[in-house]
Amino acid sequence: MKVETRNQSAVGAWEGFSRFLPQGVTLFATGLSGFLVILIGLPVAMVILMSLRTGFPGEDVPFTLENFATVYLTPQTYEILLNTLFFAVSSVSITLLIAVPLVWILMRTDIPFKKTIYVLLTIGILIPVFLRTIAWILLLSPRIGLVNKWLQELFALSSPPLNLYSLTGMAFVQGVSFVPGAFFMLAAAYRSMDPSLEEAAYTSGVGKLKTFLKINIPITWPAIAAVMVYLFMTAIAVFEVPAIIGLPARIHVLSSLIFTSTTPSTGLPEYGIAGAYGAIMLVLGLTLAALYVRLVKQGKKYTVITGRGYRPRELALGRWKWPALGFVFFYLAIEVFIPFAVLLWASLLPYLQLPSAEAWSSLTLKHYIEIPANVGPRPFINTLILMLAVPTITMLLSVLVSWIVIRTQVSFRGFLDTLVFIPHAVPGILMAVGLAYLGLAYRDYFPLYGTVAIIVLAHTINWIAYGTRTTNSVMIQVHRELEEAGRVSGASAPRVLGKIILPLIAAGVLNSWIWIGMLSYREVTMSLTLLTRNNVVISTVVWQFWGSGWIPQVAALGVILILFATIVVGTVRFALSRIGEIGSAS
Amino acid sequence: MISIRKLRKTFYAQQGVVNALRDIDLEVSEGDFCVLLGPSGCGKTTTLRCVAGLERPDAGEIEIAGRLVNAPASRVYVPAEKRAIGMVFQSYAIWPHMNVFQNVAFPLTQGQKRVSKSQVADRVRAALKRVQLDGLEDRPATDLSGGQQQRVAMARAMVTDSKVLLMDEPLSNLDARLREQMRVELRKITKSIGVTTLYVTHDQAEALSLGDKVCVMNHGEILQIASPNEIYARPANLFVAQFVGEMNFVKGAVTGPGKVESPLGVIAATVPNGVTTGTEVTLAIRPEHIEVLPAQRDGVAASTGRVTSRNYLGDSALLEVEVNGVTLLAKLAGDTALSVGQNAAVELPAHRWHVFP
Amino acid sequence: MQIVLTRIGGVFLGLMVALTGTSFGAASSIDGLIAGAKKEGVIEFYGPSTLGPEGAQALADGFNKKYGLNIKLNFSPSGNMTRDTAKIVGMSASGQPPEWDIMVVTDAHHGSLWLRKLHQPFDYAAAGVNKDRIEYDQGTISVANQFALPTYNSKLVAAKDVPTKWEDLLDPKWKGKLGVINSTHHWGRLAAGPWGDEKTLDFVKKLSAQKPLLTRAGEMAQRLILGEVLVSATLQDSQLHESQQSGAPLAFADKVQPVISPEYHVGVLKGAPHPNVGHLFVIFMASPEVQTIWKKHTGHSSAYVPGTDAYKFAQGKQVVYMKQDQAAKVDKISRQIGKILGFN
Repeated sequence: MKVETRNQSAVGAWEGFSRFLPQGVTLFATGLSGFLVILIGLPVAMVILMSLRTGFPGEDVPFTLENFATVYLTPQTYEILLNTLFFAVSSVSITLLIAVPLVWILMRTDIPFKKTIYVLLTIGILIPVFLRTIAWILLLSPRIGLVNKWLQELFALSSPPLNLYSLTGMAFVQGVSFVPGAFFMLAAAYRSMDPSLEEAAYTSGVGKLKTFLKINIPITWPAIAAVMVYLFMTAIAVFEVPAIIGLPARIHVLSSLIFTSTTPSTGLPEYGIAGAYGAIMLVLGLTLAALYVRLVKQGKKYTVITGRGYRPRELALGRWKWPALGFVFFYLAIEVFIPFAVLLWASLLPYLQLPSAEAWSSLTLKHYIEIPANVGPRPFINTLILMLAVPTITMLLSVLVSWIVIRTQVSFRGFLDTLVFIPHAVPGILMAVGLAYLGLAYRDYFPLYGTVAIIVLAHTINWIAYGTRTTNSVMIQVHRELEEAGRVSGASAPRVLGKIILPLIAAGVLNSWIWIGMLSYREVTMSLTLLTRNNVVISTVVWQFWGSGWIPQVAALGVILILFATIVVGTVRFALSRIGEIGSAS
Repeated sequence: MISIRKLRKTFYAQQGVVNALRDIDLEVSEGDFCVLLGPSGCGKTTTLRCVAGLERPDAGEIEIAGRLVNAPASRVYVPAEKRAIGMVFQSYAIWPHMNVFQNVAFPLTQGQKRVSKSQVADRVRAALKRVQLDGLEDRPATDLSGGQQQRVAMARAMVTDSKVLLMDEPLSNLDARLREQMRVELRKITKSIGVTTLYVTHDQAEALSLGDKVCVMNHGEILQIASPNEIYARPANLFVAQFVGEMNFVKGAVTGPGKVESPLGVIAATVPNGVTTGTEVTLAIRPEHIEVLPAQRDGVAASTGRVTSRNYLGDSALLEVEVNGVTLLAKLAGDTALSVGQNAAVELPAHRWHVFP
Repeated sequence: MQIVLTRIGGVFLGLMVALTGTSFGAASSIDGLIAGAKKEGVIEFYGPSTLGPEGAQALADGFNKKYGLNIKLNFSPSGNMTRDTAKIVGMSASGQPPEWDIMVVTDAHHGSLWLRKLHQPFDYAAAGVNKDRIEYDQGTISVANQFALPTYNSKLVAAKDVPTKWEDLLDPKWKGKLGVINSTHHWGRLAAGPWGDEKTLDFVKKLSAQKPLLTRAGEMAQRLILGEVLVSATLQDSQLHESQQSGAPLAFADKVQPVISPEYHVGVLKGAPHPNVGHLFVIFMASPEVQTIWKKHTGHSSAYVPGTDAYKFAQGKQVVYMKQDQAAKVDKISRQIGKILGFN
């Protein structure tokens, strides 16, 4: 198969197509865009509305800029903004330091146990961040952390060397938790990189490491930069780590401010203030979104479009196998093994303690036995609904959007692509507050408040950006002539989509389906904001247990869920690896 | 069978406006094998894709089998899937997730004119037999060699017995040997089923060997439409002359009817009508028409030249000879004894000269 | 003449009764309530999640048994009392009836409701409820008491070091070893009560200088057990009891006074769909049977009811209860305190 690298003039020429199209596609695209504008625009509009009022959802108060005054005239706000930026930058740096080499190792070399590593990477995300922090506290707390104790003894230090309760500590925990997501996004980009570019370097006598640094990284740079911006946008909005590790050290970030405004420990929520803080995040997010779109456009110039999945020859690691495995194992230990071990340990104790003789003697299984009584079926059912509905709706919308953006010539497809990316600029917590506000204030029109449906809605909006990133990159990999051959054979456009394009991108779509399902399972910020009697899900149960101090029960629940998910994901992955080969897009 | 009238297409590329097609006119009769020949960027592929319905021209009409499929002026535009054509793509576009049978059957099972299941099987097998791939129905598409993929693509394009077959440089990805083989086969197959074929290529040897009619294009315009013979022997202009086959060019000026002054002397060549005395022209002669001999033959006019290089090809030899300061390329039978530096008699038959204004 | 006057008086009295009855929107006698409840048939009950569906059911059974009714109780466990209170405010503002009939939330939350006149008052005293327990202009009654005191890890803190008064927390030896939870209203209550603003703010500033570890309420017990924090400036008794039940070595510094006592109150919301059942249930909540159920499921009981654990605990101690006129102040000063401590 000939490998074609489209040079700039050809790309330009092909894209300058005529504006008239068969009515059907344009009509459909318009309808889809309209639907999405409403879906995405409403919560955003709510946030803006919220920030301009000082009352409660439903109250009829006049518009005012009071909230903005309160927020922006306090010097503390700017300190917090700085904290937020620093935290975000550090987290993302740590993520990339681990993720970029990891992607290269797993995608381009012959490292053994690939399938297992993939499964473990996917599992890592299942351990909710706030549960992981127990492990970190046990290890890195300045007062009781085991690692600190060992280091102090070993090197006769007078004070603990590592302090978890610092911006660096926060960034570390958060950065490590981003790696699986970053990995899968980068993997897609690596797959479409022309391997002959590397091979040319090797044949010119350049060693592996140098090639990696001088060829591989510069070429994948636009993709890396895009992922970087994406993660940065996420880091500004995350809330769990700052709440658990930042608060004790009085380190505040924007997201925790928003949370405390909407769920204060005393008094009533201040939605207006939350909205005003949210406005900052929104502006920041939208700016970053624009940057992201620009970067992705640039990245397209470097991609290779082939007729079918061109599997580059894998690099033989030789004796480098051991350091590589060591690196992967080290990461997996931090991300999966240690937190899981700690959870297991915690679940078997009557109350959480550091390892000691007394602790060992008090091990018990009673928390596992009590799970059915403590939790009940409702959260499981709701979570199951979430894990099935959210990825299905999200991927459906993503495929349709990507198809229009990548494979048709609809004139406003650039707008559509940007539209679905906007939700990522809106932090999850704001989205949820906006939806809650919407649900409370306009109950008659949107009777969703209090049902699982509103969480499904929140999650879908939140991850449609992620979904379309992946479907975009897999759609691009399907050679245009494969589609044209279908049309010339007489098949109509929907038929071509269904019979030719979908099967080819199936593996990639399925991957994202699983991923979003798991993100939905463990997402807690939005579910918590929208929580009512009827829409309890497992993540909120876990959070409530944690909030009530029921650590061992939470740990037991967590262990069971992780084991269950490992089995499911592992099976699905191994079964699908065959499809992955043909599909070219896993 | 295919009528193209005043086809126009403009692209808006990053570096400005590209006039890909400038009011093209072309008629392809039923059963004809018409080749669009030209360098890359000449508009041949764009023309083909307009006929296929994969590109929308800005102006002009296209008729296929008497049916108007494109007329922007009257808002007629039939989409690709409804044009009932067959097409072979440059990359073959064999769907990797299906096997050979499914690939070939697709137009029958998913296209506009569906047929019953048993008929599908019969027709697929017949199509595969025609391209000599019978027995390979169950082979996964990813297990095919380049040549096999090309034939599957052909089978798929022909399985619906459409009246028109379009081909976009289908042989350019094959190695030289296979290419020549396939050329012969292709012509045989298309002639045997009598389908009207529009074929795009940049390879002039391919064009000459395959086409009933060759249409030379450059910069979005058709320069000449004629039989391969005609194209080669009587190129209509300078571009066609130098694009198809090898050609020697010498500048000169018309000094009288049938007389052109040039560095080689006064050449008695036929001057085209309307070219007045004093006009500067270009003289052209094919290498194979130049005779280079060790000594002048009796009664045959010849100039004196010196051999400056020699390229032995087995069945032929290419010699560069310098005559009056002008370097000419001559093609002789392989067993010539001439060597570099040798003086020779160079025969330039008058009737072999072309004159281009 | 006298007969006529008596008659007129009787009619007048009857009219008065009838009028007062309608002005409350519900019958003013227990029998009237029962009759009304029979027609309504269901109650939407919002209560602490610790009560659990079983506890709620136990309450429902006790209620039905006592009054011979067959009311269905729909239990909404508290997700977030603050947010849910705000929800009621919003619903009322937009002219909608509230989602629940009665709410069991803290006195502070009821304070927020009271400030906006979102209760439906009732003459509970006339129905026999101890007037000490009635609050917020007859809008609520107190159901149970929490207690908050400094809490320490008994394994790591020697008996002689245990704080005996609040000021002990400011001793330099505790620097870097204390914890403070985000229930800033604990301090707010002291400010609105016996300490006054100045003393409290001064105390809190000095407490903040001790560089305590800040956490949300639920996590503190964990930190105490692990030893990250040796003493938490305050902690609720319910958390303490739970940890103790699992064997963790935590204890109250019970010599410290005054003891802070946030309460759980129950009241009928304005515009409640089922007011008769609502008021009747509130009256029921004041009964001794409820104490047993409440204690069993939530661990709390009422300090107003003799014989309960809370009553016994409060004996002989100076306990700070919040009164309705303190509600606004507690709210305001708690926020201030939150800023000083670094919670926002």
